[in-house]
Amino acid sequence: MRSILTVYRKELTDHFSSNKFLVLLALIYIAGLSSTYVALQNIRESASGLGKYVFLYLFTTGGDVLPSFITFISFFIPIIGIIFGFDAINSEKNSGNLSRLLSQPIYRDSVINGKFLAGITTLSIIIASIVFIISGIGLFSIGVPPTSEEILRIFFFIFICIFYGGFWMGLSILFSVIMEKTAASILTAIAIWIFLMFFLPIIANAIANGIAPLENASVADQIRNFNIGQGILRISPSTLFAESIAILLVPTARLFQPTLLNIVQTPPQNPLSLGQSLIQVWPQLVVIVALAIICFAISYIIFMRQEIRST
Amino acid sequence: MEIIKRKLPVFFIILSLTLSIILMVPAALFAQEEETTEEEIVEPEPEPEELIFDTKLPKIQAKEGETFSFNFDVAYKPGDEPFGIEEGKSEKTFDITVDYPTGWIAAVASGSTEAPAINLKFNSTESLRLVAIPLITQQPGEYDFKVTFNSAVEGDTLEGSIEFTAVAPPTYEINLTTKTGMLSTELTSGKDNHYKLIVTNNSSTSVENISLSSTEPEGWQVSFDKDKIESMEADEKIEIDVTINPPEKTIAGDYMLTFGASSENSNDSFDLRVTVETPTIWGIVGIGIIVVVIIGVAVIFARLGRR
Amino acid sequence: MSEDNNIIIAKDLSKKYNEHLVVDNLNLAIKKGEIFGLLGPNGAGKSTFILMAMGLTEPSSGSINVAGFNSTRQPLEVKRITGYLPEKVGFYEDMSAKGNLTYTAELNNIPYREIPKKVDEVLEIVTLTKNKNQLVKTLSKGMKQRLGIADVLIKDPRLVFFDEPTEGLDLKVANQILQTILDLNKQKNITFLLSSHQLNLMQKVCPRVGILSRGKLIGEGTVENLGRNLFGGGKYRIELELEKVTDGLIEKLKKLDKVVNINKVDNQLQVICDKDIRQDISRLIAAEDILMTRMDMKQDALEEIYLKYFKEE
Repeated sequence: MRSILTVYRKELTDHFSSNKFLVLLALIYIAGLSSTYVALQNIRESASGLGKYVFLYLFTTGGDVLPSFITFISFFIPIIGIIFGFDAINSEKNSGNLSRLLSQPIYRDSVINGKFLAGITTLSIIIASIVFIISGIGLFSIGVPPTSEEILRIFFFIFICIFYGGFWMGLSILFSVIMEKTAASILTAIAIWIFLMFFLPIIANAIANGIAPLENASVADQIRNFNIGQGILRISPSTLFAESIAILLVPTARLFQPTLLNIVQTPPQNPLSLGQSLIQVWPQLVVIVALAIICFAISYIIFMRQEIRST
Repeated sequence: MEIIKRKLPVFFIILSLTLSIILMVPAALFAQEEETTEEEIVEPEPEPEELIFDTKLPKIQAKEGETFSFNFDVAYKPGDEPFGIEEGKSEKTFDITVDYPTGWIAAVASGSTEAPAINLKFNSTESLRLVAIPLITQQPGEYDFKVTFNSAVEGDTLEGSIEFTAVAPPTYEINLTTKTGMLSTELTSGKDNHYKLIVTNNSSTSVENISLSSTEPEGWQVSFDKDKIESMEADEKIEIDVTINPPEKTIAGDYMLTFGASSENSNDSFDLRVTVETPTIWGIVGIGIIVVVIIGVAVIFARLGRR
Repeated sequence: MSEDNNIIIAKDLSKKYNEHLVVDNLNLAIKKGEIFGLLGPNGAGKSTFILMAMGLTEPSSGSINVAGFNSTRQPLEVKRITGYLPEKVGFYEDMSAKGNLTYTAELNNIPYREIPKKVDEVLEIVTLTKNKNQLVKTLSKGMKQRLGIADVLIKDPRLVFFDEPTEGLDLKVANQILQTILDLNKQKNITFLLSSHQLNLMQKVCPRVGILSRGKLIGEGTVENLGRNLFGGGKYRIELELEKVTDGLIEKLKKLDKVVNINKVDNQLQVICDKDIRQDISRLIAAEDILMTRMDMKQDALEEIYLKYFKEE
């Protein structure tokens, strides 16, 4: 156990000393603070019409120029995950540290476990700190403390973010195990991210329009079109993540709504209880957690079976 | 109904006048024919020189501040021996004087020109107008105007006049505004915020039973120190103390409150833009959280970073 | 099992990478407290042998024991007492020398209180005390190699595997490293297994060597004995180039003291002997009145072995 802790602490120190950490932290803080500023403007302007869950609007409200915090965060989490995972194993191999490390009396999995945990901790610190800072600012300027349900929702949100980041980190660690070169592993991970983020929606749209064209379509066909598109998009963990956090942070949201992220404009509906919201996105949550675990497990197994070669 | 009631007498007058004219014209013609036949027998009364005034609406009512306009016709009959008219002339000059009550200004106009004097042709009817302008808000009541035509010929005593009545109805106007005149204010949630409103009775008369009302966002408590004013004299001002209590959990931001005062005849309202400030306690807690998080991250940096 | 004397015992050890036999049925025993040189060209299977001994790679067949522990099944026990210095030793370049050593110490479960003292101690041994707080990326290659030694010393090993200890170092630095190895062997009684293809350097420190070629151990023993075994005995080889070679001369040479064997190729003679008898030979040849154009003596049996076995590969 101590060896995991030792590797963990060393890796954590590495992350916190690295420039990439500082850059990411700064980026996320800037994004978070500016989106909060916009959200606060909107909240203050339409303060009377916001209903019960005002606090959550801090995270879900965007403006014309800046998107909301959850949009930012769904963009940044994969990047954090990839950046803190892509060189986990192959850089150790290339620098010649791995065989020296493994010749110490530690189990081999201590290395990969310690690294994964350190990455997850770093990710958690980044996300939790900005969420808490935003909450502080919100409390300061809205003047309404969040309800206990809102607090629970925010904590769930942080957990989902961490698991989602864990998925990307697991994936990039997997590439760092399989691929010798760090450049190859980061490029592969980023290629997958770009595909899921930008190309899959285009493909899903094209397929949906091919099967159920929107021109002169009946309502049933429009719904069919939406369902096909969304069905394809759900291959992507980013879609699952977007759906889960939208449902979690917007108590009034229902899954079947074409525009999930732009909440303030949609007509108000009765808010769901936390349990109901969770039930709606339960499959999404399970898949995200499972994907994170599977990705890490595969890299774990491959790493444990990998031959240590002399050169 | 009220209008018809008021206008009925006027109507009757007009009706009877028209009827009498219609009836009198043939009668007069008859009479003339008879006269010519009976002239030799009876020394005819000499036709007197006279001014004949006629109006359809001798009494009118107008809204406050509006100009009153009375139309009337005047006809000059020279009679058999018009005084002081040179041979060959067929008109006579009259000076026009208008008597009007204080607080008014009035003049006779023909078309759009003011006419202090007028030439009246023999036996023709001139349409004129008396224009009366209230200079101040008039107390409700009746105001009499008298237009007098005096012969401008020296020594002539020919004179005719017509009287008009302007009816100024009572006006009702109450005004509601803030004491400061600003239509926005800042409040703190979760406590009683006092705010002063002013009700002014700008009516021409006293107003009874003014009730105050407010429209506020859900959950807000707004109360007046008196939500009913029994009676207010004209031009009286009353200060109202209003207590606004936004609920504890009000989001800091801008809200619209509407205040209204209404009586039977008049009402007024205005929108007050309220900016709710955060109660200090949550501000402190918020800053506390931010400070703790930043210190936390800094400590992690200091303990783990290798810089 | 003669555990008392041997610290490494390999039995029928084989390793295949994708059907390619890297270590072929190796049997080897290394004694406690010795400096053993595992010699062979690159790709002979030296590193693979070390990896199997450390338990980092599983043998395809056979077994290897280190200090009585089966390396495959009890790798942690082996690693606890065994230091390994890979050929390309790597350190965390952005950490100081001290930081790297501290990390190793922590991984070896050394109590936190004792770590700073231990680090200072091993840095003292490799004379890097001055460079303690320097980042590794600022250290020279020789310094890094010394830091590597310090790194394995942290755990107070009983056995150290040193893969290519002098590779890429200039002669002076290489000699310093070898001297350190000798000192450590003497002072701390650490067994060393040095793997190298630089035979001439190894020869200075390794009393006993094993020669590995294409996964096979083709010779094992002291350098003297190896030479003897490989070339029919004799510690020295004296090569002569003569005007002519007569049978009488060969007979006379054979009768000289300590001569083991004589090989003849045209007018060249190779005299294998156990003693430097060049004076005797020249005297004899002069007496025979034969003109001698050249006489060399070679003691370096390893070099010969190298030439014989590795150059042709």
